[in-house]
Amino acid sequence: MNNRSYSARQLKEQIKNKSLSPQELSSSIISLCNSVQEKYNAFISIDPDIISKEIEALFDDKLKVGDNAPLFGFSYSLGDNIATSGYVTTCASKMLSTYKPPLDAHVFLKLKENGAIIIGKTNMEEFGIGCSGESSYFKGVKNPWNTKHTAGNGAAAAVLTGVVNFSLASDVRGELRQAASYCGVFALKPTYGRISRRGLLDSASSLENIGLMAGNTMDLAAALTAVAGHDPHDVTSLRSEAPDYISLLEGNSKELQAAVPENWQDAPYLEDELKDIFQGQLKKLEELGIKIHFVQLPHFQHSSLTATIISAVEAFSNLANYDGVRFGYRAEGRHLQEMYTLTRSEGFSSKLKKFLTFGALVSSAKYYNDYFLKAQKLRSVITKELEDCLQRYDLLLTPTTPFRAPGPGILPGREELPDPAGYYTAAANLAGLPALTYPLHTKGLPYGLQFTGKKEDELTLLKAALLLENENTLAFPNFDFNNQGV
Amino acid sequence: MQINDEELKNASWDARIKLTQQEEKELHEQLQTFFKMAKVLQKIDLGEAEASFGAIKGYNTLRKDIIEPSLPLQLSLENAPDADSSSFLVPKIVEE
Repeated sequence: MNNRSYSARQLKEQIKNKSLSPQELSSSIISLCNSVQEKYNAFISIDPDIISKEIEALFDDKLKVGDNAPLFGFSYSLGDNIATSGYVTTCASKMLSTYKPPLDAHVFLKLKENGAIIIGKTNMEEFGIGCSGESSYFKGVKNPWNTKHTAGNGAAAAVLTGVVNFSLASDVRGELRQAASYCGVFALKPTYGRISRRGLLDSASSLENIGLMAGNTMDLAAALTAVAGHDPHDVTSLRSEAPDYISLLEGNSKELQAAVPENWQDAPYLEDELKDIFQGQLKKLEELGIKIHFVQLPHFQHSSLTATIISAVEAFSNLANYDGVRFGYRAEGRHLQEMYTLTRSEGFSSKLKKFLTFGALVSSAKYYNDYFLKAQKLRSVITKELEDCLQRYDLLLTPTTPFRAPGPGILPGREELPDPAGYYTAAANLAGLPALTYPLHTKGLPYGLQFTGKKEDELTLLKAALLLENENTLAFPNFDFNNQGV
Repeated sequence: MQINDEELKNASWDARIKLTQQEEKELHEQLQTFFKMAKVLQKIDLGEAEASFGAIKGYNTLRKDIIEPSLPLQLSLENAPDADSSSFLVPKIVEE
């Protein structure tokens, strides 16, 4: 069984007419989780007791979860930097490997209210920084299309294998979308502030927000409808009401105008096959009535560099509180300063230690004006350039990443500053714009097609994705865990 | 541009991190690539552009000045590596 062959809607019917027992459903889901974990290392925590209790609640008529709850029967996972008081929340770091937060994230509470079942906490890069599968304390996530390659994170692998209907994970410079592209699933990073960030243990506050992944557009829209909206306890939360994306998706679409950066082929490590595939997709979109316009966005190409500098400085500041005093790992030191230094040197991965040192360097007095301040100014320029472009056009189209999922011997930009995987994705984080990646299934590992939209206009992105989805047959692999393989 | 060892040591001290020799070597290499790529920052004419500190303008608003319950003491101390009934405990601040 997996969730694509056994949808939440079917499940709802079976629970309603009680043709399936809670025990049968729990044991089936737990066994699927264990198989996915064993083969791909997608999860950091799976708790069979929590899964069983959540499922029993679905069957219990007396409990508040009614079968008319919008996400009744949907299963999901949370990235392990989203706080849950019932599960450890490790940020994939030794520093927090035993940390149990005192509070639940806003998104967790909203999903519970909407009837969704949490399956587990997914593996990721340490503190959500990057997508190359190198820094998790719990080892990397294998890509279910080809286990020699990285999945980017566990959220994408969980959606691809069908163990969950949707996943939530964070996006600093595009990590959510990059992993979705590597695994060939849908992902949406909404406008900054559209989904509450309360309970997100972030590394770069001004860039990072929570996004969603799913196996189709409608599941993405259903999950977004449940978690989007104002949260008075999050000062970065947008004050405007979030619409019901599902009902609006059913409405008619106007003719969309899409922009493509003229210099989109300048990305380092851009694969030749992707050039052809992307051009083919542009033709397909034109056939579907979307008008394509090539535009000049001269500073777009610097967005990954800009976001790398800003995220490193913000991480240097945000992660300063991991010092062994109030929570997390502590190393023994002869005095306080030594305890701080040893705690952080032993508690963080080698990759993160270098990244934080880089953040300290570019924000130091000598380099501040030439690098950090310049990056902040460039962020304003990139934001204005994108906003001006999106005044004239409904969407900006690019590939999601310049290359397929990195693997052994083909790790483009491994530990490079800036990270080349963020070439197309980082601009949306700098400007706080919504961006969606649509899966492009090919003969080998998949690619992604990215739509970036106007602030608070997630609906247009979902409509464009649905238009393509209705025309394309996506070739998801058929995972049969009983027979050990795809 | 070449970063010298002392600058790197100062930066890692600011981050309260001790890098191994191997990590220092790797970071030097990364920084060489970075500074090569970041030369572009010095060439771009940013005109009168103002620095941007967030994705949403004016998002950092203050809430009303009303006292609300905060995290209970016991819950705050629950994850501490070392604590007594009311405080976080840390090693002494001076070397012996």
